[in-house]
Amino acid sequence: MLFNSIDFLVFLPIVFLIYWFVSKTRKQKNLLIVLVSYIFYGWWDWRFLFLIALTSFCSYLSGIYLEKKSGNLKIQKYISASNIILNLLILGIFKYYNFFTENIVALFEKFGIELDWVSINVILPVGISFYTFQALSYTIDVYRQKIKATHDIIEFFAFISFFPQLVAGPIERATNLLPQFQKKRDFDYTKAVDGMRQMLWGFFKKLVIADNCAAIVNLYWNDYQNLPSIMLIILGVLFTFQIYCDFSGYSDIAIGCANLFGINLMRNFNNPYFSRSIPEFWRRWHISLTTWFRDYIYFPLGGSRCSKMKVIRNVFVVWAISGLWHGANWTFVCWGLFHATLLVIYNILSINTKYEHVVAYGRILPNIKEITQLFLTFFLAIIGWIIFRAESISQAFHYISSIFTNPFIGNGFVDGKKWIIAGILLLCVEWLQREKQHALELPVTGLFRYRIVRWCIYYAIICMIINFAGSSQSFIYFQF
Amino acid sequence: MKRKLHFIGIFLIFVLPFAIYYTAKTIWLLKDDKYKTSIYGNEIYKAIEKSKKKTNYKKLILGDSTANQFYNCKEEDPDSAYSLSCNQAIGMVGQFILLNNYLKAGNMPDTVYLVYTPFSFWDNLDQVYTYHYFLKPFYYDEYKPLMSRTVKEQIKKIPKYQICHIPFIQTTGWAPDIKQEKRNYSFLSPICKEYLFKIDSLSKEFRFTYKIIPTFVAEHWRDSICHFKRHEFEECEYKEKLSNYLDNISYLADSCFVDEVHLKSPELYKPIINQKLHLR
Repeated sequence: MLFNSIDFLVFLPIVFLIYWFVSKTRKQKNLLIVLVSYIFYGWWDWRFLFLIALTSFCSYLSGIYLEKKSGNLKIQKYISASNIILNLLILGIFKYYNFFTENIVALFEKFGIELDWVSINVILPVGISFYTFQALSYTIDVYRQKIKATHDIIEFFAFISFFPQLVAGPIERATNLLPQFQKKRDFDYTKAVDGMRQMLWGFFKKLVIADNCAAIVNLYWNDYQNLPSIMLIILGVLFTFQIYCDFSGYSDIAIGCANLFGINLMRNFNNPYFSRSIPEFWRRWHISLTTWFRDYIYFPLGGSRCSKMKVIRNVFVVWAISGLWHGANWTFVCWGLFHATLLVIYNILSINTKYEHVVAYGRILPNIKEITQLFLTFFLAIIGWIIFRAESISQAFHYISSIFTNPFIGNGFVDGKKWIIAGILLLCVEWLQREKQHALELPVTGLFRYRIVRWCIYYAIICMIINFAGSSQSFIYFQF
Repeated sequence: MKRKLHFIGIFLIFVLPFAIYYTAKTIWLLKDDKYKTSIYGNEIYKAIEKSKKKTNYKKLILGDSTANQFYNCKEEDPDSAYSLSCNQAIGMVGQFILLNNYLKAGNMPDTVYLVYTPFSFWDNLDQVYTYHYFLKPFYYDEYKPLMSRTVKEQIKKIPKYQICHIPFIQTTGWAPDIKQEKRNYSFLSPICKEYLFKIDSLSKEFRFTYKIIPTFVAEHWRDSICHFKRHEFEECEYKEKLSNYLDNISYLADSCFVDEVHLKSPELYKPIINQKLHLR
């Protein structure tokens, strides 16, 4: 089920009413969450429900056995390793099988050996990378004794399948989400209202910005050879906004929706395009995934507490995997390596990237140095997104080279007053609210203390959604 | 409990203006069928309305949006032909219904032209546009007897087909997502095939000549069209018509098209199409 569908518009109020008015106990609430989450997922394709159930059940069992065998490190290692392998195997088959076989066949062909390997027609289950990583983090955390294994199967299934974040994150940690299912939940009016606001802003980003940008990008992207440079740059910028608004919009809706049920999800985006460097960008973009890679791959490899060469190796390993996580295509790996290179350069040049506060903290406008840093980071991000969006590595490089070789101005200019207005609004609101948890977190002081003022803002946003919404598009991150 | 009810109450008050506005707007649009002239794809309602009129035209044009560029169904040209061309998304079944209406109104055309771009024959009522362009205007009891079992089965695959005439849906451009089925044909969809045959039968019953005329196609499609499998219509009675159709496609440079299908300046090419249709 998509958040931007009429089905969800009916589904959410019904679930909300049953959750708060019918199910009384914590157990009933958890059971309801499991049921409705499976309905939510099964709405897309019920056949893949068994995969979530299998992943959940194996991880649940591994947690129990890990706890039972505490003290026997060797057996614990076997248990956690076998669960990790099983999960990665499922992910590998459904997401990477064809990619690997095609590449192996192509590699052998170069040596004159023909392999008769059959590629299979596999449907990629939506959100498989998200819930698999969530399940993996639980097993590793239990193994590391950061969290106690849960013995309540319903509670665990609710943790893996919680519908707001099931298909596109945030990838929650058991240390944050699981204890919330273990506690009694009471309705929190302020939290629910704040959740609604965050959802509204998420819908604005998705429907007004991302979908309108997508319509233009999809129309022109493959015709890049015939477009003038200015248009190629505009398309790059539009895709940069599209992917941000699409994914952060989804995260906002997910976090807001979870708030309605008394659950706090972690922040996934923190104004990444207001970053002063690429390392800062990655502390603000898809935070749940970046921290996942940091905690479960980068740190175990040695992190930054080892020789310079090893740090560089660690960065490249993590980013190659991160690229591959985004999809079974070399363009994603290339995108990951591009960012790894930038991170290594920042590291070698010892540029201070550990900022305590958001840019221009306590001020309205940034200074010249900050503006330069913002533009440089934004430019590098655009280059990365062009590689990410391209269908092949050669197309990515050709696209980038066409920016410099094609005539600067020519035919084929985008007409889109509405997305310019909406884009400016997005930037202004997010800039002014950059110190807040989300863009519609309104203070209860000044003019905003009057409900009528707040409501006028909400109505204005809803009117923009109704009038400017682009044609419905699926969320980009579903495919990951 | 009090806080929960307070939240729901405030929420309901918040959405009330929208509920009032949209209910009023829907009622206003439904009154005198105003939505039929203002809605996205209103040319289909226009074509349906025109198909029920008695006229003196001897030539009738059915067609898709490429045909509509030349023979706009919203305009009438007494020296030319009567055009019911609107959009390919109505499928061949939609074209058949329009033709059936036209004949039922007592019209006796000499020639009926189906002016189509080759890709319009793909339509098997499984497109994202099917809900809005076909179901909303055509899925009425009046037309159901004209729908074959295949069509009815296909309609049942469309999500939420049962509620397509709810006023709020009928008067807006909303449509659910439809997962397009994988095509196992290169040119002619099963429904298209079935209804071309039905149109052919009508032509024999009402004794009019029935011709299929291609519109212009972008050059880069040439290879794809050459790979159309002609055996898909080998056993049909109208195989000659379709073979001629494919052989007579005129290709134009890609730059002549605004998208991959529609012409930038159709008026430049209208004389050529007129010639094909023997029109002035």
